[in-house]
Parts: sequence; structure tokens; C-alpha cells
Amino acid sequence: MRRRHGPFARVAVVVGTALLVLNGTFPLVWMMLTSLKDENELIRIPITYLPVEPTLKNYVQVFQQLPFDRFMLNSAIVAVTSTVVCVLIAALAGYALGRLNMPYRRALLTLIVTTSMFPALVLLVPLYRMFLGMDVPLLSPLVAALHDLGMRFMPTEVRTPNLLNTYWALIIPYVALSLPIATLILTSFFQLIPRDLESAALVDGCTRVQALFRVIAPVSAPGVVTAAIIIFVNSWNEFVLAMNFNTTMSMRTVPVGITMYQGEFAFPWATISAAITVGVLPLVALILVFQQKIIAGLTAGGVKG
Amino acid sequence: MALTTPTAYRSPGLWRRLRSGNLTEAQLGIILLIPAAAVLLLVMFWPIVQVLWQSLHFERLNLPARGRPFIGLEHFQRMLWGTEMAWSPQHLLGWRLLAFAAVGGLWWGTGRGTVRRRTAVIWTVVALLVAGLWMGFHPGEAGRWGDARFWNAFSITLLVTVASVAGSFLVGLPLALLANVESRWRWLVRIALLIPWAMPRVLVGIMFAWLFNSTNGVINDVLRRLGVEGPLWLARADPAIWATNITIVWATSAFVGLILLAGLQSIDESLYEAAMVDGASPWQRFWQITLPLLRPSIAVALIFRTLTAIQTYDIPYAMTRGGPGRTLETLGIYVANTTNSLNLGYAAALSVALFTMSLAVTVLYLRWIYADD
Amino acid sequence: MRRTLAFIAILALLASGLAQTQLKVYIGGQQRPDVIGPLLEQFNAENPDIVVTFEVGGATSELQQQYLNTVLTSRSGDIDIFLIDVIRPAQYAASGWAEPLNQFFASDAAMMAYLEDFLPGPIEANLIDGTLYALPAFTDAQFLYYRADLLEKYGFEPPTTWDELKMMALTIQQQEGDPNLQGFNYQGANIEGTVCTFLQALWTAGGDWVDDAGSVTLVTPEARRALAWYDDTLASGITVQNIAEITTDLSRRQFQAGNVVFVLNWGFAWAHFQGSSDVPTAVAGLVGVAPLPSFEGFDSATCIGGWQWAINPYSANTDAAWRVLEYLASPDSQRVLAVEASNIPARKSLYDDPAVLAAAPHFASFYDVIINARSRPVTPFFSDVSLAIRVPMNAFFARQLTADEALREMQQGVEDALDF
Repeated sequence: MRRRHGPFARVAVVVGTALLVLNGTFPLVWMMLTSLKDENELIRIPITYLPVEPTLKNYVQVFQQLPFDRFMLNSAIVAVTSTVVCVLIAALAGYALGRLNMPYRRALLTLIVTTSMFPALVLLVPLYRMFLGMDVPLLSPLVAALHDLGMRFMPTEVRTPNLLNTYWALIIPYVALSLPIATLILTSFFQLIPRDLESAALVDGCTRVQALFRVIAPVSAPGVVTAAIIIFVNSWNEFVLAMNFNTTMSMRTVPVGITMYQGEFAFPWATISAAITVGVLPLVALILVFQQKIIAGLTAGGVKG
Repeated sequence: MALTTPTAYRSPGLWRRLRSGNLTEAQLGIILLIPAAAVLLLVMFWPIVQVLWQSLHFERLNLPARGRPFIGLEHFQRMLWGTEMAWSPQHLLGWRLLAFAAVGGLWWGTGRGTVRRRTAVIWTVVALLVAGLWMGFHPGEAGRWGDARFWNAFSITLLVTVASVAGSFLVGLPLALLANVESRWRWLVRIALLIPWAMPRVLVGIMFAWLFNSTNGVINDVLRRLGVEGPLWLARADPAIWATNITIVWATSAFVGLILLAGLQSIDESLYEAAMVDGASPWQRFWQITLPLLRPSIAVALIFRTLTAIQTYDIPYAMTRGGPGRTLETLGIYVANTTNSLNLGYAAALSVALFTMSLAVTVLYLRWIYADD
Repeated sequence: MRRTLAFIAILALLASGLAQTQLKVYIGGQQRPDVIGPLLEQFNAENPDIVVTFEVGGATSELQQQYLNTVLTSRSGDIDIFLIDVIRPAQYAASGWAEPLNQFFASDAAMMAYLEDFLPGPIEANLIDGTLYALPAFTDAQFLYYRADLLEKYGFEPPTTWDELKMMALTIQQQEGDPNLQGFNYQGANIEGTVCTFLQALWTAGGDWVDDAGSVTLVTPEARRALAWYDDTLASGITVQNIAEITTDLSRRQFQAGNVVFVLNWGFAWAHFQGSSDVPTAVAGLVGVAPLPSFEGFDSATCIGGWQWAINPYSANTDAAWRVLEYLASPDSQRVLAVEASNIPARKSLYDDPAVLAAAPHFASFYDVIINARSRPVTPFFSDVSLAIRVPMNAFFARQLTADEALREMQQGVEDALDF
């Protein structure tokens, strides 16, 4: 926003920025400083802020004690896949609910949002059973009945495969868990796009579907990027399902992995701070670069009607 | 939006329509919704149905002898108004408030016109909330108005929801505005925006529990250096409520900020330029252009922030396991404790209560955004 | 010809693979997978027809419990053997989540003879109505750790009554003049350990949570005396005011940093104090261990802890699992756990074992405490009972409830929990 600011506004902006930046970064900076300290310093009273003897051995410990690099790979695979799949599905749904004249739009939106109204803890056991391998509710009894009635070529049951300890055990629920918010974000964004853009394209001879891909998609990028960031972070940081579904060490994700450095009665702050820093910084860097680039590219082109 | 067709011309079938890309809006819409519907149905439908079904049964895994009998709405009866009614003066007041809510609601609800109906809804909701809060804080002499622990959790959840939603917006909106200002420091503000939210919630709770530690924590240390004796943050009820809400706001304002930022970035520059030409002050520009155009983003952020706030579990649990005593036992924590006690039927019933609250809130919010529908 | 041979070879390989029973053991991250792993490998070597692998779970009791709850509620036979906390067997027994082990003995008499070597405390938790549900892996209890150097400086012997402890703590605090020195530290946060904080005070006052008739007796003069004692610790200043946020780990760290004179904590703390720890220690070689004090005229008491091996009843290989269990509960395995992992042995014979005493001489002094360790309430509804006790206790420490209010709430809560 290229506006001329009065001096008061400028000072307010600077002070506000400083406070808010401090608010956001202080804990992470503190974590980073802690991760560079020797354990000696952590129990001193009064506490020290800057490390007296900075050391990198906590970071070494992070990777030596547990396969943290594997955890990061797992988290990355799960998060990226969930994001891509979820954004695609949500974009389609968002377009339908945001721009097309659909009947019962509000009811459909409410229905979609309904699925995020249950805490993950409550859905844990039913989801676990599903991924463990269970008889498909309607199909299995039907098939079994048919088998008993004489159709011996029919199997006696239809079970879902055992997906635990695979990436799918996490990707599938994460897509479903993030779908409501992604859909809602994209719906509201698609609504904002002026009709003229579409009308111009339609007048030029595009079909609706072509208009969707050629005109709307590029222009809705801020919404798509935001939705993608939210889905990515939600999937990366999800804890309950990741803890209980992927239990072999080689399949664990980062948030779960970080809690594995602690013991029942021991909390190695230095190691855990290092683990948190390693787990969070790449995430932040990635998102920052992603958001910056797309938005910069877009505002250069202009979202003007 | 039906197209009128000349009688001699048969409109092409669906399949041909699909291939040529010429569908009615509604048909295209339904087709586009199929993937989303499929995912949600396959993954979430069955677990949700199970939870709903479970809430109508009695099942305690450490009492297998009782089996899994169908008890209908008994869980809800026990939860909301109890199986034994113990009367006290506070109860009478609660009943009067409920009656007030019903009468007021009916009076305006039967009137014609949207204004009356909206007033009726607001009146009823507010009165019910007040009644619920009142009864939650006064569980009666014998402590037998419904499930006292449920009403306590309900009050706490309400408090945390209002405080943390308001707080995250109060912090998130300025953050978004600042992150949108073109300056050299924009990248720093955006980092500050993202970091709190990029950390797993569980760890945020643990980290802030350590920060708020009365003797070894940073916050009290800073206060001490400033000459102030900090409170016993997590060892006393009231400071614990503050500490927990501050932590939740810290962790979630980034989420709100992110959505609002995206909304801000979609606002057309030319509107501001036109306003400036007309001589509008920054304050006027904010109120008359920014906020109204931000309404959809605000609504989205509001809905999901509220939904997560109603289900709050991670942070209060990590900080104090539910607060000194039961101070911070939110509904989410109550559900978790009940599940751990293997009382699956009641845990499901509590989840249904959570769901109902979330549904009511969402319906109200969506009605507000899509008021024209 | 070659193809036939290859075919037979493959069949043979498959057959041998199929003949091997695959078993999975589940342990928590804090139970020393680095020690248990080699134990299991040795078992594999000695028993070629069984292959045992192990899965490491979350690092806290709650996370492990959540996972086991999920697995067992889904009736999954994925895990064959797991480690459970000493407070769980009754709950598992009632839910049918632990395979009864009586069937693996020739007779009940043979079983009781086998159990003779184990300490009475863990067995009390595992043997419910004559049925054995788990075998102890190791045991634990709360001890009174004290700064031997400070006590010696002022000419004190380890206290045998609470009043003595208070007097000593006050004297040392005043004489040392260090504002950061705490006299007496224990756990008061909303955690499982706080149940022990309460019960130990109650037991050493001569009371119990339940009487012989089975009625809950928490609003009694003994209980009031216990809470009055804790009130006293806060009022006299020997305990920090923010006791309501002191967890086991925090308590241990504060003593380890040299800031506490007396602390009540579990067995694991000893190794930390001596230096085998994630944080440096200021008290290595300066720590003494003693049984908990009691009120004048009553016996000392302490809460039992420790973990037990149990078999998943939904497993397809309970017989093979029993062989693993037997191996893990054998004196040799327990010796390895004691020597390498500093786990307090659950077998009486190991307290005289030279290898064990060489590695952990303090176990000899632990024995007198452990032999008298008492169980927390053994009931299928322990989760509810635990909450019913520790939540009011935490509120009491946070000065939200008075002692009487807290006790009444405990009484009501425990009665509700047991009233099914």
C-alpha cells in the first residue's frame, strides 16, 4: 500500500511492528538460544539469556539419539501429499460453492464444516479400526449374505486393508480433516473474484470449465496459497493420529518424534529445544518463500478488475 | 436457472453436455463437489456415525458385565439436568431465566418479519447462555444439578472460547495489517506471524508452562528484574486462566492473521486510491473499505477459530493438566479424561454436546455471512 | 532338476519362516529400549522358533496408555506383550485386556510358589481374586532423599517423624541463609504422583482410604491430620508456595541443583543425583536415602510403583508369548535390568545378588523401604479414583479449597467412582 503516512502513523507502525515481532519470535529465539547452551546453564538461578559457551552438541544429539532426519522426511511426504490432494479437491468444491448458483449452498457448507466439529481424540478409535482393517459396513454383510445364499464365488467378507504404519494412514485422514477449512477459505476467495473476468472469458468463447482453468485459477492464488499453507501446517503439526497410527520408529513424524526425547521424569530441555528448532525453521522458511514468491508474482501482475 | 428450450430442440444429454463442457451451473457444481463429498463420506462419515450411535449406549470397558445396552438419551439427561433434581434458590433462579428465555423467544419468534425473528434468536441464545453459566457456577447445595463437572467444563470452555477468539483477533488483525504494509521489515513481520503457529500445539503448551514457571520461568524473571513480583502463574487459579489464555492467543493469532492477510491482499488498490482522492482519513478508509471487504475472511477465521476454541484441549492439558483443581478443565479435557476412564458411552455423549455447540455457532456465523441466501 | 531343487529350497525357507512365531513387544520410550532390546535378542537366539521384535512407544505413561487403549479397544492382536504401570492390572483385568496367567502353571499352588520370590507389593497389584494378570518387570517406590552433608553439618540423623523433618528443615534453612534453599519438596501438580503424596501422609498417620468393610474413609481425623501437615509445610515456609505446579521431574531437578534439603521422589532420581543424568548434578555423593517419616507412633509407608509385563488376550500366540514373559521375569533378565538400567528389582533374591549390589549398592538401603511399599487403590476404576484424589489435592495446594472441602470432595469423588 503506497500511502503517505503521517509521522504519528509511522511511529505507531514501527512500535506496533516491534511489539508484534517480539511477541512472535521471542519464544522461538529463546528456544534457539536454549539449544545452543550447555545443560549447566539451564538450571542456574538467575537464568541466563545468551549462552555463555555456545555449543552445537545438542543438535548432534538430536540426530544421534533418534532418526530425526527420517521423521522430517516422513512429515514432509505426508504434509506435501495431503496439501496437494486437499487443495485440488477443495478448489473444485470452493469454486462450486463460491461462484456457481448452487441450491442449498449454505446447508452444504455447514455439512462440510460439520466434520471438523468432533475432537480428534474421539474419532481416534473408529479411525484406528478403519485403518487396522475392518469389514466395510454395508458391503461386507451384503457380500457375506450373497455367499451364503449360494454364490460361492463371492468372498465371505470385504475388509479394508491394514494401512497402519504407512503414509496413507495419515494422508487420508489429514485430507479429510483439512478439507472443511480449505473449502471455506477457497469458497470465500472465489466469491470475491469479480464476475467481469469470467464474463469476458465466456464472451470470448471459453466454456465454463475452460474459464475456470485459464482465468479464475491464476487470479485466486492468494486464497489457494493461504489454504495450502494452512493445510500444510495442520498436517505437519498434527499429533494425536500420528502418535497412534504410525508407531514404528521409521514412520514417525516430527511432532511425535520431538516428544520422544523426553522421558517419564526427564525433560532434556536443551535437546528438545534443538529438536524444535530443527523441526520448525525449515517449515517457516518454506512457507515464507512460498508465500512471498507467489504473492509477489501476483501483485506485480495486479489483481485489478 | 432453467433454460427455456424451443419445443423442436431436445437439449443434449448429460454425457454430451459433460464432454462439450456445457452444463448448467447446478450440474457442474454437483460434479465439482463429488471428490470432496467422497473423501468426507469415506473417511469421516463412519467414525462420526459411530460416535453418535455410541452416545446412545452405555459402555464402560472396565465394566464388561454390563454389556452395551441401548439407553437412548439417558447420558444427556444425566449430563444436562440430572436424574435427581435437587432444588435450591439458585435453581429456582435458573428456571426463571429459562422461562424468561422461552417466553421472550416465543413472543418475538411468532411475530412476523426478519427483525423480530432475529431478535428472538439472539434473545433465546443469550438467555440460554446466561442460564447455563449461572447454573454452571451454582451446582446446587447437593451438587446434583445435572453433571456438575459438565457444567463447570461448559463454563470454562465458554470463557476460554470468548477470551481466546477475541484475543486472537485483537492480535491477529494488527498483525495482518502490519504484514501488509510495504516496508523493509515485512519479511520479519511475516516470520513473526508464522512462527507461533508453525510449532506443534503440544510443544507450545510445554514451552509456555516452562516460561510461566513461578521460580525458574522467564516471565517471572523479567518481572523480577523490572522490580515486580510476578504471580504464581500456574499454581493459582486466576493467574492460570490468564496464562493459558495468553498462550492460546499467542499460538492462534497467527492463524487468524494469516487468513486476514490473504483477505487484505485481495482488496483492490484502486479503492484506496479513489478514497484518498476523495479526502478520506486513514481511519475512515479502514472502517469503510477495509473492514467490510474483509468480512468474508473474518468470517472464515471466526468460524474455525471458534470451532478449535470450543474443542481446546492441548494447551490447558500440557500446561496444568486442567488447571489447579478443575479450573481449566475444558470440555475437550473432560472428554479426554472420560475416554481414558474407558467410559466410552459418556465420552461420546460429551462429544455430541461439543458438536451441538459447534454446530449452533457455525450455523449462526454462516447465516451472518451468507445472509442473502 | 535345478528348478525343482530351487522350488523345494524356497518351500523349505517359507516353511521355516512360517514355523517361526512372530511376536511383538511394546515398551515405552523411557523403559530403556537399549537394555531390553539385547535381552530380547538373546531370547531369539535361544529360541529359534520364535522371533521377537519390539516397538517403542511414547515417552510418558499417558501417551503409552492412550495407544494401548486404542489398540485394545479395537481388539487388535498386533501387539503380543506390553508393559503396564502397576496401577493398571486391575483395570486391564476387568476390561479383559490382560491374559490370565494361571493357565500357564501346573497348579495354583505351583503358581504361588513361583511368586514367592517376588516382592509382595507388585504381586498384590497383579494378583486379583486369585488370578494372576501380569508379572513384575521392576518395581519402584517413593523415598526420602536428603542432603547428607547438610544433615551432618548440623548433627542431625535422618528424621523418623514428620515433626523432626520440619524442625530440621527449618533449622537448616535459617542457618544456611540461602533464600533459594527449600526445606521440603514433594509433588503437588495435577499428576498421578500427587495421589501418592496424599496417600503416604494418610498412611503414616495410621489411616487408609478404605476401611475393612469397604467403605471409603477419606473424611477422617487421620486424613485431616495429613492435610494439616501439608498446610503446615506451606505455612512454615519449608515448602515453596507454588507447590501446585511442582511435578516429579521439576522436584527432582530442584534437588539436583542443590536447592532442596529433603525431597520425596521415586527411585529413578538416585541415578540422576549421582550424575547419570541429562542435567549436571550439584549433589553427587551428598545424598542419603531413608524411608519416609511418619507421625509419632505410626509406621512408615510408601507408595509402590514399577511396571509389569502382560499378554494381550487378542494375540494369536499367547502360548509363545508366555515363554517370552517367563524369560523376561526370570532372575537373569531382572538382574540385567537392575544392573544396566538401574531398575529396582522386583525379586527378593536379587537384593543379595553380588552383581546387582556391585552396580547399585544403594539398592540394599532401598530394600527396607520397598518391602513395606503399599498399593494405591486396586480397582478397575483406578483412573476415576486417581482423578478424584489428585484434583482436590491439587486444588488444596493451590489454596482453592480448604482441607475439609478437599477431603469431602475426595470422598464424594471416590464414592462416585466406585459406585457402579
